[in-house]
Amino acid sequence: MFHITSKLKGSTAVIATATMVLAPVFASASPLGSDPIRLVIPFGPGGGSDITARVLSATAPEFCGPRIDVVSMSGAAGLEAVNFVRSAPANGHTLLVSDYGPVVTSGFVDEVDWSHDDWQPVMNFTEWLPTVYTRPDHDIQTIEDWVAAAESDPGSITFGHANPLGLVHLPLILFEMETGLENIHVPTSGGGETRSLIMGGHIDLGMTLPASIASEVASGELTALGVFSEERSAVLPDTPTFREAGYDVVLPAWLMVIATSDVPAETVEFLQDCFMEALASPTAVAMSDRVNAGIEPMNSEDSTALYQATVTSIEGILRNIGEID
Amino acid sequence: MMLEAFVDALHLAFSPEVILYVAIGVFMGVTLGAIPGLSGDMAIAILLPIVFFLEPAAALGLLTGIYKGGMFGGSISAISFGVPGTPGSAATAIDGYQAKLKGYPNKALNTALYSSVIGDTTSDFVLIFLALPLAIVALTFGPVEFFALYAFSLLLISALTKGKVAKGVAMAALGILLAMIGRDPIGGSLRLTFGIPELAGGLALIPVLVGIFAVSELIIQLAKAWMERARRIVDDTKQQAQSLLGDYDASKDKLSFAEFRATMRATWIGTTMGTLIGALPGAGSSLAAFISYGLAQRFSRKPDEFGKGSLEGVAAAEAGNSATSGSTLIPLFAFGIPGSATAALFGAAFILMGMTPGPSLINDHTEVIYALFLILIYANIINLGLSHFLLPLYSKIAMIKSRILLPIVCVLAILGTFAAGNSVIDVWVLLFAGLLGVVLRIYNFPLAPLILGFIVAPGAERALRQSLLIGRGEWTHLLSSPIALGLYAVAAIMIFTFTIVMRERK
Amino acid sequence: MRSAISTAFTRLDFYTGLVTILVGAIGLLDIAYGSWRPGPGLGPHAFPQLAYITLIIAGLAIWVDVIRGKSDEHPENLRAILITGVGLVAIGMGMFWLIGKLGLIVSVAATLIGSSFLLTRDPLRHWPSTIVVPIIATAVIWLLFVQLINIPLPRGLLF
Repeated sequence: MFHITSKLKGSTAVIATATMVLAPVFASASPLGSDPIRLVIPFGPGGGSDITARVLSATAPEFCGPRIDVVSMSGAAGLEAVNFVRSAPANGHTLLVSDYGPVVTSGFVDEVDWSHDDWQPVMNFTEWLPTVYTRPDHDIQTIEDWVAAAESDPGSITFGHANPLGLVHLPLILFEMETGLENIHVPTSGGGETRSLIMGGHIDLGMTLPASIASEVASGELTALGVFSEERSAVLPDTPTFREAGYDVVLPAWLMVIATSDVPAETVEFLQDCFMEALASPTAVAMSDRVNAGIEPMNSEDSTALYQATVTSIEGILRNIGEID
Repeated sequence: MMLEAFVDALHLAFSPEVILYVAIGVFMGVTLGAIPGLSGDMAIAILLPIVFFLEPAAALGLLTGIYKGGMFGGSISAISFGVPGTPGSAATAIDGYQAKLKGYPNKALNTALYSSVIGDTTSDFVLIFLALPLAIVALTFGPVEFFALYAFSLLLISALTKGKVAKGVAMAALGILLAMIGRDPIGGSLRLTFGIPELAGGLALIPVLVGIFAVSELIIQLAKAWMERARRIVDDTKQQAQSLLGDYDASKDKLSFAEFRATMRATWIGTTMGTLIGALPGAGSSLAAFISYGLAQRFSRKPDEFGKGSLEGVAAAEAGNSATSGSTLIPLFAFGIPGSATAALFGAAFILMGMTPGPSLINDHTEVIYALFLILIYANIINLGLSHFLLPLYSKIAMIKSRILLPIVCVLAILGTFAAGNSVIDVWVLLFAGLLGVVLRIYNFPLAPLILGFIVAPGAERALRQSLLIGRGEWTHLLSSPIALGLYAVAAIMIFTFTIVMRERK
Repeated sequence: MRSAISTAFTRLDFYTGLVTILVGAIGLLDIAYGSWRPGPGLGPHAFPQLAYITLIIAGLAIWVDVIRGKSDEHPENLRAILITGVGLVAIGMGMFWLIGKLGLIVSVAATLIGSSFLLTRDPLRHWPSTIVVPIIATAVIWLLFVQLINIPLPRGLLF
């Protein structure tokens, strides 16, 4: 076991470490001021986006200059965080760290005063691959089992997922659109509830992200059926993709650092550079491995392309199921 | 091998550095918990990055200390001002504040401390020795069983109504309606938002609870202070004392052993219910406190004193609240399932330290987890000692003249509520819930059933609708589980026997 | 019994019961004629409907209590309490708005000093409690919320 420790002693150290992460070494010609950078996440603390953002907040100050705080704002189903970033000064000090739900999906289904073009990705942390899983003593153990069972008795399989139309629900809708299969959708309060309903035998299948089940799948306590992505997940190497099984359903969820589009291009570029440099540092790589975050940073340009592709595909799904017209 | 790990764990847990961090944590937890809106959870969320900088044992010690201190700290403001500092201490406020008004805040605070520590310690031992069997029981709770549990807990409303059953039921219905605001958790459509997009996420528990209970209480007290001032202007001859402290006789306000022993039954009811409910993913500490309070009243020898400053009421609520603290980690340790916001934060702390929550945790990181177990136990002793030292200080603060103290508590409540969710809407909700609470108080509606309805409704609705989805619309599916049937049977028996008891009393 | 019914209209709880029933009735009308989307498993309106029906039943039960002669007394100091309530909400919002304009220290100190002046007779003579204590409290609040917790303060968000 190793620790990334700069061991501090005494009571003031507690406060110091919590708030003042590392002494700032100012990069030359920084367009940023000395105020802290706020990474606002539209979810509660403790989840995957929080943990990933904290890797950046712990490593990037050295490269970017100011201190970096992770602020969790889950109010109004994440819209409050989005609005907070929207109304903050456009100087690159207030950034949104989010998956596509609060930005792309909300932009379509909620009454908001912004459009998808009002945002520009700074960089992408990772792509989360939605994964279907169940308990190991269940009759369904593969994608083929699932399809066969759903065809022989349509609408009999119970499928648990967190928030409706979220990133662990839309892939199921897309899969049903492609195949014409029917399942009973059982919305839950989150990944924890989905998992306890599956392990307790109350529902058949569920959807989650690989990092949260990787160690259970490895030890045989859960079975992962398939992944909705182009390539297999690095942490679930033995789990096939749906594409391998012959169903062209791919809907990965990214986690991006997003700025408003009125932030100057040079600031976005500076942030992109220092974030990517920080995430490539040995400390950040070790940290990312340790927390199973699977961070593979992607620059602003590629992230923007991915963002726009997602806007198009989500629009297609929502139109198809009648959520928007 | 086991013994070796245990010795290593002893070294880790009892190193002076770790003990110091635990003590700092307890102090921070008690103090922050006492501020309305701020809770241990929030402090843990803010201090989460500390795991990057400290040894695992020291970091876990600090977080554990905050958590335990916060659990008890909420009851300080609940008792001193009638203002629950944390969601879990809402039930404590019912009798604790009445006790303070009767002139014995210290007795109530000490009762709260002892029952909190007893509940917490028991729950920790259950976590250490019975985690797996209890976790397996918890997994048998699916939507059908949860709906039965929530329906059962709504029955206890009558214990919270202070003899005004009709008004109490109306308040529970209002609480349910408030909880329905926002996005429907099953279908995703908006309801009862009155066209306000900010209400799409629904009302958060902390602003509603602090607003209804605390802000309304503060408004009424401020009104009294305001009228007192008006009266004083007329009556100018009376000189008021220069001292900041009002008149309060501390010597008469000591908890005797006999009084302590009389609360033990309530404490054990709270401890049992808190430990069991804490182990269920998603049920939560405030529900545990209310159920414990309701049951303790049912089984008390002096049920009529509940709501009027009963120390038993304080003990049951506080033990029920604190006894969730160990057991809420059970699903996390046994299956990697975070059953509550706190458990999710501890899960995140483990992940940030490179430890995967779940059954492999204890094998992969034996010393650290053993050390955590030791810390969980001795943090209670530190909590007991430190709080013993802090209580006289804090109850002195509570006795400061209200015209000085009340504005400060108001500002703390507003900023604390904002900080808890970083949400401006929460501040609006807080203030309007305060106004609603005032109106309801003026017209003698009991407030506790409203909170119970608000806490229970989201889970009950989700569980019922999930059950019907899984059972393909068949209502008989709700009776398909022996646990659910058992809960309904117990509820029926309780209604039956207590109606008879009430008849005989009359 | 007859007299209890004829005096019922003078009792406070006749009106609380009436309001309770009205809220329930309006809610049921909203569910019947408002725009509620259907949803899976009973639909989103099922639980609110249950709550509205419960409200109506509870309101009727309050009326039964009134006829039986059980009613709470008319409240005292109604006006003072309501004015304080509205005042506190206004001051609270005002402070929050000011924080966005003037910063936390100034706003909190002004709010605290202002309210202790309001609540204290001859505030200048009691300067230790009306000025010194609020300033100390502001310092503690600043340390806690800005230095320790570092809350994302609203910047003109409210208005």
